[in-house]
Formats: sequence, structure tokens, C-alpha cells
Amino acid sequence: MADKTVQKTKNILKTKTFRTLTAIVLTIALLAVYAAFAEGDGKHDSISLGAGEYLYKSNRYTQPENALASLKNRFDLNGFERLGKSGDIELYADSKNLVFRIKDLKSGYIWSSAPSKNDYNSNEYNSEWLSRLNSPFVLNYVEQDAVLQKETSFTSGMGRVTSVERIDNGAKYSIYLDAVKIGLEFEIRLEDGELVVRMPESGFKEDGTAKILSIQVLPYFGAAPGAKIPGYIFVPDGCGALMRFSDDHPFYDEAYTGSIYDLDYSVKLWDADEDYSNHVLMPVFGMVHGAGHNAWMCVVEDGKFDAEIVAVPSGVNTVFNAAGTRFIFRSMYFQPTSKTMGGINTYQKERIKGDRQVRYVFLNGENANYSGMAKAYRKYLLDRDMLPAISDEDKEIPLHLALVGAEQEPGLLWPNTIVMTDFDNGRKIVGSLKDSGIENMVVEYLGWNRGGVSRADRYKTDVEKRLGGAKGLKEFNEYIKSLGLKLFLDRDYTSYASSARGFQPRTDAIRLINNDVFKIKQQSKHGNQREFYFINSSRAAEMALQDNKRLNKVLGSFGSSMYGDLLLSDFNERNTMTREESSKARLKLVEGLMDENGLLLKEPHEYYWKYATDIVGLPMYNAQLVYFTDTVPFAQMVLHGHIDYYSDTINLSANSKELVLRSLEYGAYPSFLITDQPSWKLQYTFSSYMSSSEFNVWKDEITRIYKQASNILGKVRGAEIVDREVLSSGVVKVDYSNNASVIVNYTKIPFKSNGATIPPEDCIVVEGGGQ
Amino acid sequence: MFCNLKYKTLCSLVIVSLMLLCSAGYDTNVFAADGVPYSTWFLNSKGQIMRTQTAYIPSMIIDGFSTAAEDSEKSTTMSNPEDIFIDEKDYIYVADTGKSRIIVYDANGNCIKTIGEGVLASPSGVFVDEAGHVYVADRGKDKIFLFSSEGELKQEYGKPDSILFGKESAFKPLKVAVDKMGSMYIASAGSINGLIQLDRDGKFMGYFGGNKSSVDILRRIQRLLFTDEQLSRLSRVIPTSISNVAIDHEGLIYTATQTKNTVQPIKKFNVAGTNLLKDLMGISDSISDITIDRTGNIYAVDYKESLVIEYNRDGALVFLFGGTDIGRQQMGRFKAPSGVAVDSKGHLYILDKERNNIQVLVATEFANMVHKATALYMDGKYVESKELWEQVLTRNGMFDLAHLGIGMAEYKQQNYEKALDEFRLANNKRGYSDSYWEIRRKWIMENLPAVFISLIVFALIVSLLKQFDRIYKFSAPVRNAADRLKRRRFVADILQFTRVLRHPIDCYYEIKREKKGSIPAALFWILLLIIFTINKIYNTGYIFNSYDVRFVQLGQVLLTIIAPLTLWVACNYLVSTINDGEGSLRDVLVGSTSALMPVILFMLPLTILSNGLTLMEKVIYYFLSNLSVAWSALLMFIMVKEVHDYEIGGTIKNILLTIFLMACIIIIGIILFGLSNQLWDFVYSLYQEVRIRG
Repeated sequence: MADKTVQKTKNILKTKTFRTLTAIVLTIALLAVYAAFAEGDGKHDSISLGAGEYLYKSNRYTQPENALASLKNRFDLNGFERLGKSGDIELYADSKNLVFRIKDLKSGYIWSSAPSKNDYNSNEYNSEWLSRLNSPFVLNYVEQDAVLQKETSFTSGMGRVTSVERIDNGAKYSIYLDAVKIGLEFEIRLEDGELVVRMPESGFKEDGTAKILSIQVLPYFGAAPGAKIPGYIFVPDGCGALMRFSDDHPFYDEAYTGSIYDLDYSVKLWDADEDYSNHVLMPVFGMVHGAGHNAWMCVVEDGKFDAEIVAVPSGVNTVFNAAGTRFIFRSMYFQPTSKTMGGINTYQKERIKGDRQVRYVFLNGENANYSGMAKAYRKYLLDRDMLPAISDEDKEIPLHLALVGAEQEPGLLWPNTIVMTDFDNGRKIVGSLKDSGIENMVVEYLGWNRGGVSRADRYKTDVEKRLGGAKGLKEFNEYIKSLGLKLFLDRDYTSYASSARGFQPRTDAIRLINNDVFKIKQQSKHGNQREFYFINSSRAAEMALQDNKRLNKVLGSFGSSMYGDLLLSDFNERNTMTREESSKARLKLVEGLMDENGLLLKEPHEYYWKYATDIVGLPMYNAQLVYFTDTVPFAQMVLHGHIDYYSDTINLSANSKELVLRSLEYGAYPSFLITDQPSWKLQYTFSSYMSSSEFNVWKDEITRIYKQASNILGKVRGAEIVDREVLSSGVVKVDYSNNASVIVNYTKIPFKSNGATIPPEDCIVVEGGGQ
Repeated sequence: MFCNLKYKTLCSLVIVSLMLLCSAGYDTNVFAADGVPYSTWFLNSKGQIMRTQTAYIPSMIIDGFSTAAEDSEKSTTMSNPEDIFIDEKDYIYVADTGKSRIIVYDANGNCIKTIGEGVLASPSGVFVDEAGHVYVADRGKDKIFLFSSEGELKQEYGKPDSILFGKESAFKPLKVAVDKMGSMYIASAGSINGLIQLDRDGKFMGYFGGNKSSVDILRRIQRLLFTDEQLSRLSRVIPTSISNVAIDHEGLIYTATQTKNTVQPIKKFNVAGTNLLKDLMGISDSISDITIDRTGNIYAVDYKESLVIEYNRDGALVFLFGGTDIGRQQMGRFKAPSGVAVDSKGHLYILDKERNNIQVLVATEFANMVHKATALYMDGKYVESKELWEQVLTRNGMFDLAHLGIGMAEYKQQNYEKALDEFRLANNKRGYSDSYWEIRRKWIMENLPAVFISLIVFALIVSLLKQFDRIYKFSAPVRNAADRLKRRRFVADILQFTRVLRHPIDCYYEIKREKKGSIPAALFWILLLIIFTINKIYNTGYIFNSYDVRFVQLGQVLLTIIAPLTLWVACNYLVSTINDGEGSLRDVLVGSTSALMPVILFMLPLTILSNGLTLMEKVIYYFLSNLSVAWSALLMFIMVKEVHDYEIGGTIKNILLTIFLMACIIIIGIILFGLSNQLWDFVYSLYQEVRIRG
């Protein structure tokens, strides 16, 4: 039976029909496979494009680092004289041409203040540019007629060294530029293994008609030719930005100029378009030659209040990527003489006085990257007592809850006050969050004053009656205290309405460089309008202390929150103030506002940090200029463990999922802006941007996000960030000093790392030996 | 005019909001929140520009540089590119005008190939059909070129030789779009008749979707008064030519026009050439490109202000953002955006003619949510879209479109009360009126018997009371008191005004000769007018209320009533004194006020009535309201005639002179105001010059 079957089958196999059939079937199968493959190819292609995958490769994120095997020295020390040695650093000088070289003894790498002649074709540059490349400074000046700004440097300005004085580990050069009759002293020395460059106030001489506008110090220190050395410049724009070196990029109009502590709007007159300006909180920048090999970081010290960080990508003026500090001495401005555009160009008569000093810190090995710079900068701040010591680590992570009290909209007879969250409901909100398991909260109250948020320019101490009055606020304060939480009342000591108590626009308001009063008119189509002035900082400090007395009487002790993102000089003849003086007055104000809660500061500049216990609005992005290649959380890496800082307002973000991930990566605690009433009530007010803030809508989301943050950031609370690594585009690992690591996966694909899998758009924490 | 005005408001608003940045306020935070260099706006149903969450985030730049290293022989950078197109496979086609070619990039920005090198001169428009054929409009060679998907030249289309097209007409193709039948719609420079439509063989099929010439008021007056000869000497009004064209998946044709006139900048045409976007709010007068995504959303770029504008299928402005790159090269800002395209994932590609790059913008969670809800809503799936709209509202409670969507869903589900609230929030009067109609119908059905019965009972009681009163006269004391009151001078004066309704001529005679009616009484009625007007503003039913209480200022209301009245009384008196009028100032004031009686007396009942009407009965409301005005005007005429004792001719002359004098006073007032400003500026400049230079 079986044999028969086999025989039959054999016969069938032999038939012609069968062969043809087989051939056909095989062909079809082949075709199908081919078709499948062809299609598969197409599909794969489109998958690899990935929905929104550009985002992780864009400069909104950090790019993975390509390891570099070795880095070649481009300089030698032939013909250079050794000026000193400190730590692992040696300083050499060519005192005739004023070229300086630094030898890092650990890595053997040599840095130079002027680029190597082999790296550029000197025929392509005119004498001015050749002079500039080799000069330790570039001087910007204006002649009497004040029409054109001109630039000169050591050789082109017919500079000569009038005297050299050897000082400890360095030298002091007296320089005179014959072409413009300007003299200055240039002091360069080593101190604690760091390079210090100083131009003392006593050395500046203006003997001719030329007036100094600005001086750029060591403009080409460590300048990298194109992409010949892989590396990047770090600038503290927003939270931090990298400019990776590249040869092949589009035309850039201009170099990066970041005004330290933002623009001085008393000098750079208001221009709405300009206002998306760079946000520079810290006077620090740096350059890396080969990540993991060599780097320097520069801290601007004396004169930082009137200084800019200049970072030039290759191709803008020269083939070099370069970064340096520009100190401002005078500003040019337009003096209007009629209301219809007429006027003259002129310059500030009085020079900004003071010493100018920068400090270079050299990094090598694993510290030669932006993480290393963040560590070095943190050490710098701690050594100088400019950053509080490690904050309490035993408590749960905090949640920043900003409650909005009242706001105004226009009305038929008088403005309408809209109650968004009265003190009773505020208490209910806090209580309900507490009940849902949020133990630690930082409660900020906005618009608690009479008239609400947009009348904070007028009522500094009156509590809005409709919210429950002073009594209600006092009870609220006590309630918060009884829960062991912190309450911060939003205080505005920047803008003042002319009707504010004790404020005289004539004497107290800031005057612009052209002697106009700095006044802002705000108007919306809905009939909303207000007008306010900016107040002189020392007057603000006086008034704040008075207000404090008044408020303490009513409320007892309470915390305050304030903005720290505006630093203005004042040209009012009665109380002229430079930015530096203004900052000192501001610090006095801030000290006056401290209570046992500490102080909540919003977008504070670096000089405020030692007073801040909590920071809201620490930038999480940079200005995304086209030559920025990466966004790095430099500010966060400096601050974590020392000051609690919070994310951008999550409920107002259009991309809240991404924002939550980003804040977990940056170590920022969650922040919400909440009202009891629905937010559409604000639509005809100046606060109409609070488009989604109703507590009932967000309650569950707040708890969920807090729990997630608590699970991750609770493990690293009170620890410093020691390293940060991009594992793959869109996957970042942040290492903390307590050996825990936070890994964030922004992408929509799961990521495997050392046996752990990070789900898409999620975050994990690895404790103990993350590295 | 309208669009310009809108635009101005936008600009000032944008500036105002920026100012906030420096001052304290969470505003700064909002910008930082998504780290983009612009705020995003939408236009609410009242035509007001409102801030909303960020809709798009700049992510990548495609400029050919990042990939040039791999393919160093062939530079793939662009030069003054003028158009961009994205095909079904998300390949990006750029009309590289300066380098006379089409560049094709893949979605990662790698250059795949170039098309038309050596053939094209100044390609300014590119279109790819479903089969992958590439159509290029070349304004240098005045031709449309058709390439195969491999880049082989297959066809050229030059100027059509049809008589209908005309020998004189120029053929300078700027942009091209092709429908499924293969007909080309060509935007040609200076073509005042509209798009040039060619069939697949290049045969002229006609003009399509041309703009009409707009005629302003001055022109109309000129036409009325000028002779034919004079008219012919005036420059001819030429309709604006279409500057760009796009086609959507349904084959509808969209045109963009750069114009300062009232012509809608974006139109959507069906095959018959009817514009389907009647309500689109033109924000920009310099749209350089438009594109349509799969759900019918329209994206446009404005090259002057560098704005990106998104409309939904109905022409409602959903998102508006962007801004000019003033040299700082910030991503998200543009220098001269010349093209916009959208890929299958909803990413936006903005081509920049001066920066020679493409910026890729990625939609945020919020924008995706809005887009999903819009897609359902547009397909009429109101109920399905409701949940999504509610999500949108949790993000932005001021987003009108969401309220509209939910309103529609509630209406569909016959929850009229809820629908009413949502339509009110969305400021949609039609929806509100429809919901109200349903609610009212239900109320009437339920309460009609009760109302009837109570009316009958009431009538019975009244008639009974009257009967009893006739017998027992218990109302006598009341009547006496009323009579005594009427005899009081002031009350009598007030009541005198009401006589004008039935016996106007007698009334004026009495006012003039018998000195009935006094100035205090007139002031009383004016006060009443003001109170009624305010009441009208506050209490008119939503459907008929053109005011929003928030935007009304008391001063304005008073000014609109008192200023014209005072001016009228004063001017009329002045004119009549030199024109043999008999009336005194008092007569004119009292007479004019009494002429306003119909308006005053109608106002309150109308306000009450408006609360019970829907749009279906709007005739009743507007008829009564206009009637009262017409009546008052007639009384005013009679007043002038009687008080000054004129004939008809004299009356007309007097009234015209009065109006003329009023106009003169207004103009002089404006001039004086301007002069004082200039004088002040002169003094100021003098002071400044002395202070600074001296």
C-alpha cells in the first residue's frame, strides 16, 4: 500500500504538467519574496525617518559625542619665555608680539592666544585682520564725531609695550596705542592653576579724541580652525548651548553675542523685535578641543555686569571658531531731539569705570567637556560662597504650585476684579493635593494684592478684599505653615504705576541713556490698558523694606517670590546707577525679603543664587540660533543639589509630555499654575495667556506627574550632577554624585541600555553603579 | 481695508505682548515654556486676536549643507528658491530658481537628485502629480515643463495659440497646479483674468477664478459725476493677478492674491469656479504660498512679516505665528518665506528665499489635538469630535472652535440647554438662535395652557374690579392724587413731551407759544435716554446685542448721545438766528428732545422683547427699531418747521445748513487738535536741541 503511494507520487513528480506547475509556483514565490522585499525597503525607509525624529537630531537636544582617539598639539614653545607655573599649568609669553601660550602639564596640550600661522592663509586677510588674529585684545572706539564705530588691535593700532613688570607667576604690560592715543595695562598671571587676565582701571588712558567703546580680551584664545579639531564652543545661552565646529555650514550673518545678565534696556532702547533676546544668566563660557581631551572654561569676574560673551563660528570673519569676552566701556545711542524721529547719534560721555578681569580654568581628560565645565563652575561658585551648600535631602521632592488670586478686566464704569482663587479655595486646593499624597509643596500666590495680577504695579501691600482680605491671607499663611509647607507671596519691585503709594516718577523712575523716563504703555484691543515705570533699584530696596514692615504687621512672617531677570542702569541725574551698583541694591532688597522660608526667585541671574532657596523659570531651552548644534542643561548641572529648581509651567505647555520628560532629565521639579475658577474668565485680561489652569481639570494630572517625578528625582535629591551622556539620539543618561543615574528616552521606540529597557517616552532611574 | 485693519491690530498686539516680557509677569515663562521665539495666536469668533499654546516647534533645517560632504561633486545647496512641493512619499521638491533646477530631498534632508539642469532657466513653481510627474513653471523661459519621475523631459507647454487666449496676453507662468484629469492651472504674472487653464495637451481651456476689480467709494462717486471722457482719463482699475495656486485631494483649487484691496487673499474654488471661502479673514496682504493638507487645513506664508498662517477648511484662522529674522538667525524666524508645504506626518516645511533653506516645524501635542478634532468636525462627526474638543478645552478654555464643536454635538444630541451655553461661549449667534428656538418651543408647548388660563383670569379680575369701582368709587383717592401730580409744573412739563406722539404740531405750538415743557424736563428725558441706552447695552438679548459689555466705556456712551445732541441744538439755533428762525435756544432744545421721544419710549420694550426672539423673527425687532428712528427723524423735521415757523423749503435749507455747520465745527476741531500737537512738538524739539547741543 505504502509502496504504491510512493510509486504514484514519483510518477506524478515526473510528469510535465507538474514541472511546469512547479516552475510557475516557484516564479510566483520568488516574485512575491522580491515584492515583499521591495516593499519592505520602502517601509523601512519611512520608519527610519520616524515621526518627529528630526526633533531629537535638532539643536533642541544634545547630540551623541563621537569619541576621538588622540589630539595632536598644534603649537610648540620655541621662542617663548616662561612666565610662571602654578598647579599643572605653565604660562609662556612672547612679550614682543604679546602672544601667550599655556601648557597643560597633565595632557601636554598647548593653548595659544593667537592661532597658528599654518592654519590660515595670510594672503586672504588684510593687515587689520592679521593684527587682530595675533592681538591679545581688540579695541572698539569712536572718534569725536560719533558717526562710525572703529576697531583696532595691537599691531594695527601702532601699539607698543611701554613697560613690562614681572609679577608673581606672570607679567604686567603697559601698552600704548599710538594710532588712537589710548593706553591700557594688561596683566596676565597664573593663580591656583588658573589663568587670570586683568586690565586695572588705573591703566586706561584716553589722550586723544578717540574714546573707548569696548575691549575684547583674548579674542582668539584657543581658536580652532574650521573642523580640523573636533570640538565645540559652550555658551550659557538659556540653559546652555553648544556650537560644534564644522567646515560645511551655511553663511552666518554675525557672531554670537550674549549680553551677560541680559540686555540693559536703559541703554539698548526697547525694540519689540529685538526682544527675543538671548537670555544669559551666568558669566561663563568655554571651548573644547576634542571631547575627553582638552578644554578651557572662562569665567568673567570684574566688569561682568557690563560685558558680552562673543562666540564666532568659523566662516563669519575668519576660518576660526573663537570665543572671548567683550567689556563695555561706553555705549553709542540715538538721542532724539524731536518727537518725529529727528535726533543725533552720540555716545555716553562718562566711561563705565572699574577693573576688568577674566579667569581661564583648564580641563583635561574626562573633564574636558561641558559636564566638566559645569563641575568646575560649580566648584568656582562654592569656593567663593556664591552658591548655597547642599540642600536638605531627607525631604520628599517639592512641587511648585503657583496660585492665581485675582485679575482685572475692563468694565463699563470701572475695572472689574475677577476672583480666580480666593484664600478659602486656595486652602482647599493645597489640602486636596496634600491628601492625594503630595507631601512637599512650595506654594506661590500671584495676584493676592488689590486688583490682582496686573495691578501689582500699583498695590504692593493691600490684600484684595474679594479674596478674603488680609485676615484671610493671614489664615492661609498659618494654614500652610501648619502643614509644614512654604508660602511665597509674589512681590513686584520692578514696575510701578504712577499712582503707587510713595512712588514719584520724576525722581524714582529709571531714566534711559537719552534721559527719557523709562515708561511702558500696555494696551490690548479689549480696552485693557495700563502704564508703568521701572523703579530705581535702591529706591526699590527702601520701599520693599517699608512694605515688609506694613505686611508683617498684618500677616506675621511670610515668604516672598520675585523676578530676578532684569538688571537696569539708571541715568537719572539724582540717583545715577551702573548695572553693578544696581545689582548690589537688588541684593539688599532680596536680603530684606528673606524670611525663614528663604526666597523663591524667578529666572534669577547668577548673583542672586546664593540667596535663592527655590528657583522658578530656570531656562530649559536656548534661543535656538542656527549655529547652535546642541542644547545642554548647564545651569541645571551647576545647581542640582544646591538649590531646588522647577520646570516651566507644565499646564501651560503645548507639549507637556515632552516637558515632563525634559524636566526629569534636567532634574527640575514639577511646576503648575493653578486657579480655582475656569481659565476662560481671564480671556479679556492681561493674563489671558493662562489658557488652562483650572484645578479640577488638572488635579489628577498634577498628582500623576508628581508621583512620576518623585519616583525618579526622589532618588537623586540632594545629589550633584556629575556627568551627562547622550546614549543615542533622544536618549540621555544623567549621572548623580550618589551613584544613581537617570535615563530618559524621548523617542517613540524602546531603548535598551545595560540590560535595562527604557520604554518609549519614559524615564528610569538606575541606583548604585549606574556607570 | 478690513484685512489691513485686522493686521494692524495684530501687529500692535504682538508688540504690546512683547513688552510684557521685560516686566514682571509669567509672560516670559510662556515663551520659555516651549522654547520658541514666537507666540502663537488665533482669531476668535469676535475677530479678536488671542494668544494660544504653541502650535509648531522649529526642529530641523534642510539646506543641503549637512549632506554635501557625502556627495561633494554636486553641490546641493539652493539659491533664491521660490517654491516647494512635497509628494505622496514625502519627497521634497524645491524650485531652485537661482540655480535653474529642481532639487529633490528625502525627508531627512539628503539630496536624492536634481531635475531639469540645462533645461530650466528660472523655475519658480513646482508640482508633482500622483504618478510622480514633475511639472515646473519657468518664468525665465515662459513655459511649463513636464518631467517624468526619473527626471526626463517629457513635454513643454508654451504660450497657447488659441484665439480665446489672445495674442496680446502674456504667458509668464509663476506657479502651477495640476488636477487628476491632467489639466494645469497656471498662475501667470500679470494675468488679470485669473488662472490660465490648459488641458494635458497644452490646449487653452479658459481662465479660472479671476479676481474682480474692486471699486472704492471715490470711484463710485466719480462714476456718478464724471463724463465718459473724464472717466477714460482716469487710470483703469485693474483686478489684481493671482500670485499662487494650490490644489487639494478633492480637486478643489485654491488661489492666493497679494493685495491691499478688499479682495480676499485666499480663495477656494469648486470646479464651477465658485468661491467656497466667503468668510475667510484675511490677515495678510503679502501671501507668497499656500498649501493644503489632507484634512483640508490651509497653510499660508506671508513674506513681508514672515508669518505662518493656518486656516481650517471653513476659513477660520486656527493658528498664526512666526516673525522676521532680523539677522540673528534664530530658528522659527524667517527672512523671506517663499514657500510652504506639509508632509504626511503634518510637519510644516517653510522655504526661505533669502536664507536658502527649509525650516521643518513639528506640530505640538496641542496642535495635533486641534487637528484631530477639526478633522472629525469637518466631516460632520460632531458627536465623535466632542470628546476631543473637550480635551482641547482643558488645554485652552478660550479656544472658540472647541466651544463651537461641542455646541454642535450637544445640539445634535438634543441637549439644547447645554448647546445654548456652548454657542454663547463660541459667540455663534446662529447656533444660539437655533438652540433657543428649540428651548422656547418646548417652553411654549408646556406652558401655553397655563398662560392662557392666567390671562383669562387676569382679564376677569380687571373687569370685575372696574365694575366694582364704578359702584363703590374706591379708586377715587388714587385718581385725585394722580391728577394733582399732573398739575404740578415739573410733572406737567415732562408729560408735555409725550404729546408729541399723537399731536406733534400742537405739541410744538404749545412748547413755543405757551412755554410748556421746560429745560429740566428735557434733561430728565435725556437722562432717561442714557439710562435706557445703558440698559439696552446690558440687557438686550444675546442674539440682537451687538455690544460686549467689557468693551463699552461709559464715557463713550455718554459722548455718542450728548455730543451730537448738543452740537445739533447749538448749530440749529445759530443757523436759525441768522436765517429768520423764530425759535429760541430753549425751544430748540426742548423741541429736539421731544422729537427723540419715539426712540426713548421704544427702547425699553424693544430691549425686553429682544430676549424672547430668535433670528427667525429678527424682522420684527429691526422693523420696530427702525420705525422708532424714522419716526423721530420725521418729528425732528416737523420740529424745525414749527419752532422756527418755516415753509417746507426753508426747513430743508435750515436742516442742511445745520448739518454743514456741524461738519465744519468737527473739522475745525480736528485741525486745532493737530496743530496743537505740532506746536508742542516744536517747543519740545527746541528744548531738546538746546539741552543736548548747548
